Amino acid sequence: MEHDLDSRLARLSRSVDVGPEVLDVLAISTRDVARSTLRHRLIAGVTAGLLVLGAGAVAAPAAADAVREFLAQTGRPIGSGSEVIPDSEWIDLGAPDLRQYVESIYPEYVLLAPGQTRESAIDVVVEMWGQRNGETQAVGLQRTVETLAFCGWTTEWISAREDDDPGRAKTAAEMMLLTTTWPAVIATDGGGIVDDQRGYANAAIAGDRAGVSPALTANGCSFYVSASE
Amino acid sequence: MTIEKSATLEALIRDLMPELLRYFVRRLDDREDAADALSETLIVLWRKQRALPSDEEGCRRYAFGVARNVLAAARRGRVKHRVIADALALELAVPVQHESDPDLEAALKSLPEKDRELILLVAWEGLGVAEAGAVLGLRPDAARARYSRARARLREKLN
Repeated sequence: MEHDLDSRLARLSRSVDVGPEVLDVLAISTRDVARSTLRHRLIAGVTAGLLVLGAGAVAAPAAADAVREFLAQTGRPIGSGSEVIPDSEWIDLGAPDLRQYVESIYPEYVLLAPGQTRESAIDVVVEMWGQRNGETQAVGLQRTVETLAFCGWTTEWISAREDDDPGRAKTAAEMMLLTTTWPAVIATDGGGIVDDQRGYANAAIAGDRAGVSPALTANGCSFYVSASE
Repeated sequence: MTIEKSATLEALIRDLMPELLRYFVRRLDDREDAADALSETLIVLWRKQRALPSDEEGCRRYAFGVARNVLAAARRGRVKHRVIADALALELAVPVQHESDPDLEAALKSLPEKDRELILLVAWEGLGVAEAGAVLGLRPDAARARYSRARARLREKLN
């Protein structure tokens, strides 16, 4: 009877089979999220402390000024448009502290491909946007990082296929698909971009090299990948 | 925390991931909820890294304690969806295999939540009775008595 009960309980249990690569990616990304949150809490704590210390000496700044920490932030609101993010402001691409601003809005959720680093991603954003010397929205800068990761994972998939490494190829294909869920590309998609990326990702999942290759050209990956190496 | 201790804890957390995933898949019907619950649990464990017991058994007990709290939040729809869990949710899209046993399921449902969880932590997660009791905040002797009573009630219901 005891044995029977144990057997029935065991049979009721659901089994699950997940590849170690997926768990590895989740381990790294959750660790990064945890560290990033702790860092934000620390910064918030220090900022709050400074505000308390400064409150007796100077009048508190107006709310709009309080959130402007960088010269790159113009404070001028953006009007209407299909790719405009509500309550956003124009960012001055010629500002001397553009790099520091990009670091402050870096999309921590982006999982970069092997060989890419946070620093090199920021370098690409600053180089790409800095030479335009105009103005843009913060979301455009964040989307550049997302695209960089998409290009990185696409290149990784092609490389894994050439190395005949199905485990790496599978992870890369799944990461390509994951990039289609990231907010900046969704927010700025004027039409078809996310669908195209999803199509390339699905081609990668299906092992269709010919279906993946156009992704590199369509997304201007040669610039992203060479610049981030 | 020393580098050696940090590396050990990291390895312990990584080793626990498959067990924690099974814990959520067995208790949550929605695969995305299970993926989100696992990612939330891991984030809590990484944040609490300094507070984690450095021995394997203690770390495991602590992790299941966190998982139990996250499970309760998930059942109330309070666990945040994170894109980082999407790849795992995709992986879980393949239906999980398990046998149906309506009588046993009904008997388990009739137990108080703590008793049911005590039974399942032992039967499904392979924890010892005292260890499972610790996850639920029970002293070893209380856990053993409770486990014995719960099994008796299960057998009674099934008869």
